[in-house]
Amino acid sequence: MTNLQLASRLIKKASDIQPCPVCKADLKILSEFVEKKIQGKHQSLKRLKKIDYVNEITSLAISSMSIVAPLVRMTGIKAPELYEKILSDNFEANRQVKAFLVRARREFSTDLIAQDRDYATVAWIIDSFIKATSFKLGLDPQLFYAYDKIIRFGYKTHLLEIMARIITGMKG
Amino acid sequence: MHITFIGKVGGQDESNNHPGNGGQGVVELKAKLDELYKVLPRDDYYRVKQLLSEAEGILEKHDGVTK
Repeated sequence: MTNLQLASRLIKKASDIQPCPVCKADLKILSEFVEKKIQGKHQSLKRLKKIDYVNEITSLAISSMSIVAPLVRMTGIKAPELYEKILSDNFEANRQVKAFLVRARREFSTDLIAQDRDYATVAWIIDSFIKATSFKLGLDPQLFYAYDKIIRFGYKTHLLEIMARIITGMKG
Repeated sequence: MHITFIGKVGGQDESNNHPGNGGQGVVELKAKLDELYKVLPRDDYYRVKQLLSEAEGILEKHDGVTK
C-alpha cells in the first residue's frame, strides 16, 4: 500500500466514525478525491474547493467562543443532562477522528505538497479538520451547549452556509 | 411498534412481511435523519439516532436468528 492509499483509507475511517453528519460528508469527499487522484482519474477541483472552508469557520468559532465563554460562565447557564451525554458519547469518536487524521496528514510529505497543488489543498483541509476536532475536544458541557446554540442559529438562518460559500468563492 | 414502522419504510409491498426490509428501512431513516441534522434541535437528533441504532441492533440480532 502506498502512502497516499493509506492516507485515503485513514480519511475514510475518520469519515465513518465522525459523529457530525456535515463533517462526515466533507471527509468522504476528501477521501474519494484522494482515492480517484491515485487512480489517475480526472476530477474537478470544484468538489474539493467546496469543502475548503473548515479552517475559516473553525477560526471564527474559536474567536466567537473566546468572547462568549466568559459570559456563559458569568451567567452560570447549565447544560441540560442530555448535552452532557451527547458530549461524552461524541468525545471518544472525535478523539479517534483526530488520531486518524493526524496519521493521514503525515503521509503528505513536504515534497509532495510542493510538487502537487491538489495534494497541498488536501493537506490544508486535513489540517483544518484536525484544528476543528481539537476545538470540539476542548469543550466542556456548558460551552458545548452554548456553542451548539450558536451553530444551530447559524444553520437555521443559513448564515453558516452563506459564509462557507463566501469563503470558498473568495478562494476561487 | 417502532420496528413495525421501520419495516414499512423498508418494505416493497403492502404485506410488509419481507425479512431484511426492516434493516434497509433503518439505513434509509438514518440517512434521512442526517439530512435533517441542520434543522433539527441537537437533542431531538440525538434521541432519534439512539432509537435507530437500538432498532438496528435488534434487527441485526433478529437477522442472526432467522438466517
